[in-house]
Amino acid sequence: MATVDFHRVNKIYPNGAHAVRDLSLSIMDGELVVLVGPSGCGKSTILRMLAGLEEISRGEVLINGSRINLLSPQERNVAMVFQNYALYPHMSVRDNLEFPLKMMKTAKAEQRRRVEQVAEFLKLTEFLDLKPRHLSGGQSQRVAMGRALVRDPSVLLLDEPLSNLDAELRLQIRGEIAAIQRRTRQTTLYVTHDQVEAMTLGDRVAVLRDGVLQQASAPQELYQQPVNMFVAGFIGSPGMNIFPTIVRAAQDGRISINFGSRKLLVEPPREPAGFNQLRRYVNVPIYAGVRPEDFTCSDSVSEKNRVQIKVKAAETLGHETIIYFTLPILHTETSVPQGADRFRPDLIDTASGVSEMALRRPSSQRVETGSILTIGLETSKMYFFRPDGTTIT
Amino acid sequence: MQSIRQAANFFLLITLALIFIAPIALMIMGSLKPDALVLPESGTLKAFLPDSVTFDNYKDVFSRINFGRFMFNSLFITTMIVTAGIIVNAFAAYAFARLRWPGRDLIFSIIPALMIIPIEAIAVPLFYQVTLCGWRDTYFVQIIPFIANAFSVYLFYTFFIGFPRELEDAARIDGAGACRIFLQIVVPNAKPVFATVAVLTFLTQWGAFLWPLMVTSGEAVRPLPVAVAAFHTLPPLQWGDILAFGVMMVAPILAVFLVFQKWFVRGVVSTGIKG
Repeated sequence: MATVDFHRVNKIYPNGAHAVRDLSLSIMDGELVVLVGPSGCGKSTILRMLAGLEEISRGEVLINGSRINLLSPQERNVAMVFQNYALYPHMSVRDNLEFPLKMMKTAKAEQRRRVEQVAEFLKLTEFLDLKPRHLSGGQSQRVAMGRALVRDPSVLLLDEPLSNLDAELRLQIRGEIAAIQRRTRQTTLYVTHDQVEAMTLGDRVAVLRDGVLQQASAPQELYQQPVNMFVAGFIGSPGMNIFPTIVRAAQDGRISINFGSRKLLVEPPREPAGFNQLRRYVNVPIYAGVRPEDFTCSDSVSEKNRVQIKVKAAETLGHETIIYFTLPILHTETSVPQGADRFRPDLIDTASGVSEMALRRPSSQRVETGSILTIGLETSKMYFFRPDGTTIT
Repeated sequence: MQSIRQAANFFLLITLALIFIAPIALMIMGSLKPDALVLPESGTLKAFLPDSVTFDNYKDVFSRINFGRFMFNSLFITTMIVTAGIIVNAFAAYAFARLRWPGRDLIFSIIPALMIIPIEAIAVPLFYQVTLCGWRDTYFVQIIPFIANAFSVYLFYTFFIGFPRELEDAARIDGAGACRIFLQIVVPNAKPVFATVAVLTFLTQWGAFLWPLMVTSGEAVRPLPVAVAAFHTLPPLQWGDILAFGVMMVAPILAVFLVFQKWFVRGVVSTGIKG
């Protein structure tokens, strides 16, 4: 049982790469925090710094309030599950589970007792005498978990533990990990690049980009109140649609925004969050965002907020269909906010002059590629971002 | 058409195989023939199919020279080089591959250069050196200079650098230090490369001739290759005896290879060397 505090932690590699910048994050006792972000965002580095496999360049890491920067991995009493399981191939499952206990010089009888206890807990008893190469992916994963849990660590670290499993097994093991964590209430830091995994597992999810922590919140909050465009675009599958827009104020004080070439009227009760703030950005190029599921049926919004789109591609997933379309960026009317497209260059392609968009539909309606679809935009469900990418609230 | 092609292929391959096997077969068969018949029959088919089999040549070798002594010398020297070499070079390679220390990259850049220098090139200065040390005519002088070996270091290095780092990280977190990680995690999973280095070192050192010839004078510490040269010039010239000597000299190499073959092949595959 332990708390973990990162206090302005930095990692700078000898070649000058600044992998983690000023990370401050506290993990409560028994909490499962998921670090998520695209590859190369520094999430594994953070894990490795906590584990003692990487030096901490600047800042402090505390476990239970005491500084552990200079302690060896063993002294920190952390345990880690690796992406490729990292089971010792020449040892049987039993020897693998015993290894950390041997290193701790635990008494023989106690070793035996704990190994058997963990094996039973993880349903590994019948495999104890097998070598890892005779195990399936799921079994190997459980042994890796077992080896981490057997020494009763203060913090459990999981580095993309599911990425080597096939889709079905991933779902199953994800459930198992969640169940194990709930039963043991082990303080856990979990790293993944898969935001679905993050959202389903985490008590809190910490989103990272380029070594900088963007937001650490409960999954629902992360989804509903992203602090910036990056988090908005990263969370959700597909992520939030983001497009450049410009806010106009009519003489009567009513506000409109661009959706491609169309003007959408923002009027009560359809004001989005931060509507009053929005007035401060009249005639300033900013970004707007809308989640794929927040495009509504055309008849539930006023005629002014209906838009026709041309279907570029449609993915049928069974219960729903994801429809892709593009939205032109109007250079004549809107200049794209300077430098902000660095947030999601894949979403806003200024070179080709379009924003890639996706929307979600129940599969009951058949949609053909190339067909024209009328959709409604619920302005109350839209998000707006300043030119620097932060959310206007 | 296809079968003709296949037949031609087989014919070609069998011919090539026979050409390669012939000298070895000649040696084995010749060693089993009465000495007088070895040379006269060597141009005929009887070179490979002797009329009578005798072990007199083998007895001759033992009675004419102290073969057992030379065999022991060779086995002792080679085994020592292989054993010490495996330990020293594996540790060195692991330090190059995994530990961080000042000057590592500079020193490692010299390793490939060391590999291409043959013993003949440094034999004379080395000879002076060991003479100054007073090491001549010892086992020592035949073992020490050959323990550290750039090629072995390189082979080990290529294996260790490709060794899954996660296993080492896992062991570190489990509480193992660098030495324990190496001995308990890396080494047990590195059998192929150990076998490869052992076999290759054994082969090169077993045939070492120039250096032992330079630094030894009496038969007390001389190895087999020097002995066979001397035996060759020992009158009377008896080809059967020389061939018997040859068979006995090659036998240990075959034994070593057969023992390590399984791992050796895997090692050659995993380290990417070709024979």
